[in-house]
Amino acid sequence: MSAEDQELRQIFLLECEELVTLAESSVETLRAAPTEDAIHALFRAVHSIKGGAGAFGLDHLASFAHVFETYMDLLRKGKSTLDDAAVDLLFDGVDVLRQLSDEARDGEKASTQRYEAALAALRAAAGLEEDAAAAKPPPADFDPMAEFEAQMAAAPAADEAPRRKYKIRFVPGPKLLEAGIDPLRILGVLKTLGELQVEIAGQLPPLADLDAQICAWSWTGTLETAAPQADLDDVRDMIDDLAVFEFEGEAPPPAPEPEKPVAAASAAPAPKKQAAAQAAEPAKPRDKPVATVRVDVPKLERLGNMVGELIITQAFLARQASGLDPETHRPLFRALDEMGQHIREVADAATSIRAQPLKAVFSRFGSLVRDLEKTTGKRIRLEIVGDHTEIDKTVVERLSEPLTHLIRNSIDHGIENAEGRAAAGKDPIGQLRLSAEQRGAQVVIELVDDGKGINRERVLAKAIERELVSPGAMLSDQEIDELIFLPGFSTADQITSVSGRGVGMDAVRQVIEEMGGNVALTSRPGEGTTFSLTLPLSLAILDAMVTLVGRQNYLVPISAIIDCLRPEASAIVRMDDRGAMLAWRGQILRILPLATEFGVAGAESDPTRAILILVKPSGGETVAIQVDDLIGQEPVVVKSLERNYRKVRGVSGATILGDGRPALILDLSSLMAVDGRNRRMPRAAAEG
Amino acid sequence: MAKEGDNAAANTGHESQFVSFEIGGTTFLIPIDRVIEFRTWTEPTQVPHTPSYVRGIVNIRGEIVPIYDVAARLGRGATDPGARHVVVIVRGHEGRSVGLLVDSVTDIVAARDADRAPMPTIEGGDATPFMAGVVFSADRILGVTDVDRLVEETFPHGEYAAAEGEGPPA
Repeated sequence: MSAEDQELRQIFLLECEELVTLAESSVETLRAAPTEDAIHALFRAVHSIKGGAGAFGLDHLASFAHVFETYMDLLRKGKSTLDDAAVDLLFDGVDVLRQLSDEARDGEKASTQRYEAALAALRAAAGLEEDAAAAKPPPADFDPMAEFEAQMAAAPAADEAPRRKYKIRFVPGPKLLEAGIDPLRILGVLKTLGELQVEIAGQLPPLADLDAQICAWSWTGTLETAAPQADLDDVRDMIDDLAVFEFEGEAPPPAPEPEKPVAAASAAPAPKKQAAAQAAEPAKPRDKPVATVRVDVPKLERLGNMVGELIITQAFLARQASGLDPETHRPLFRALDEMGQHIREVADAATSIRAQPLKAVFSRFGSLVRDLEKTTGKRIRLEIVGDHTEIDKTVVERLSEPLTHLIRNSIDHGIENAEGRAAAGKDPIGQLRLSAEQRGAQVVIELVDDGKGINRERVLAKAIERELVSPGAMLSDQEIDELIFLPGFSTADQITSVSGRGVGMDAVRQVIEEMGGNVALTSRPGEGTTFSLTLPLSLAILDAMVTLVGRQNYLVPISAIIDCLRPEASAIVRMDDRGAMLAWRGQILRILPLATEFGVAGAESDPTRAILILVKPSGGETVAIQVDDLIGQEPVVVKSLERNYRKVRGVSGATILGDGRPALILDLSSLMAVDGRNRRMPRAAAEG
Repeated sequence: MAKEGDNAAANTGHESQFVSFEIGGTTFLIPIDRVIEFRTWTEPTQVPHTPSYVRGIVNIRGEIVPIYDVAARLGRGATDPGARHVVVIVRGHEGRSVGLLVDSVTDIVAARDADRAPMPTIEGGDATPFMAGVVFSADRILGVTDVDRLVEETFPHGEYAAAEGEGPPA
């Protein structure tokens, strides 16, 4: 295969991923309520996969898609009913399509068991004979066009339907002939749909420039047909990429069709599809085609780095200028202000370029939940909300594992089995809701189940047994719930195949915190549990409070700060020689002097003359961090300490302040783990 | 890539260049191709939970670079650096940039391979773990520092032991 073909194949496989996702969401829609739109969308997705797979010699994928499509056709024509069994069959089909396309992409061969089971089931449902052509990979000269012609010809001639006149335009692209498609055959297909009148346009290039592999002509004309517009969509999809095929209804049909296949077409994620679709109905503004470019990640990273440097330089300039008289240097200050504004906009743009919709990771959970339904015997309805929310690409990639674990955990430990749910008077189908939402510079992802909630008695007993908590400890409900984030904690008395895999909730917390986010948990006994993950939009830029301790600056992530205060002497409590505590809103909080933790000389030791920053890292207690002073809040560029040095406990990274000096950014959870008095100190950290 | 000082041993005509620097009156060498630049001493930003020979971090063209007190690392006591002290920015392992705090940078020394020798080993380990070898130069014998070992905190102690044993710089 030539390098170019190889590249085209990769592009197809990327599209294939999108198509599988689209197919899956169509099946989800079908499960909720069968609509013709969803059936058409599914059919088209599978059809596109078949066409591409055939063209790139992915025989298994092509033949499987073919069987799938045959079955879909029965559903589409109402010859087979769309019951629960059918939906399961479709889901299985989609899973196998994904498996096959993943295999083609990774060049790996997984077990064929599932493939064969699904193939046999689909074939049976589609009424195909065991030895039908589709059972074997199609022959090398597999001709998707012939297939297509037969299919279009077989479509019922809807004579009773109103006829509609379309303006059509067909411009073969340079690859059409190469793909083995004769333009005349396309026109032939159109002719089967109704009355076709076309004019030929174009001119042969001079003989010297003539390339017989490129069609020099195009056709414009009218088609009067009773066929639904979906058939025209099918023609367009058939030659998608290879030629431009546009159509436009001249007048609205006398009786508007109840279904709107056009809407289904424009819901397709692939923007170029939308670009090709000149639908009869005016597209809504949000459906407007957007031109896209594929960019190598290193290029994006370089852009991000340069934006970071700009922010640092700007902070430097601002600090340099701060000594000048604003009256005499008015234009300079105005220019600095403007530059700051522009740099913020560039930074936002750079962040948004790196952003990806969470759909990329959320879409995989449908199949995960269906698998878990099978292994646990529980019935689950997964609702996904806000999967268009965008977040940094790296975050999207790293979210897959922790979210998978949380979902497994909710289904395994949270949601009851059928008897349990019946006894509790709940819907026999467990509800799981995965939602995402942007709030300011953060994205909040929530996973809500309607299960039995956390069994606090058992959690506490387990924590005491594991010596994570001393037997007499008085813990609030919230504190008990959060014990499950401790390393080595697992509530399942017997490790199940589903969630007890040695990767605990502590791993979930760790991954989220490594990305500068945090995890919170609320549980209502008998009603369910909510996990909420808060993540920064961008990993590169952090909103931080700059503090002063001795002569050192330390940065505290704004997202973790609850309050900053200079305490009254009456609010400071000293029980013993182990340090002071702060009485705050009816709670007693530990005061953590940063100077002591980090061994900084020349810092203020008296809390009443210092500033206390109240922070609450995820899954931890609220702690008052003592610093000498606050310098101010600013967006800072996160730099790696590990690039040239190593990871340091209590520190998540560094940045460069306006004076050009580095300053450390606090990692609050590990800071508290460093502190020996914390009863939540993870044992692993203590042992190094 | 092979370590400098190890390669082309057979080719006795080959000449290598070193930068010489002084610590407490003793001259040491460092392979010139490891050296990125020289900077005068400026107070670095402290980093907690590090051995005392890690003086902190500085900003070098947008990168965070750690500074090592070579005298402290060699067991010769901590340096009390001033404006005359020099930080040699060198290329460490895995493309890292690290800074070495020294008293002064003195010269460039050229040595033929015939003038070089490896360090002797004694039972149980290296006699002097932070030297990669010696160079015979005129009437002197100069140690060639092993930058990778110098900055390796787990060597010769465990990282945690080193960090906790020496405590954060006060």
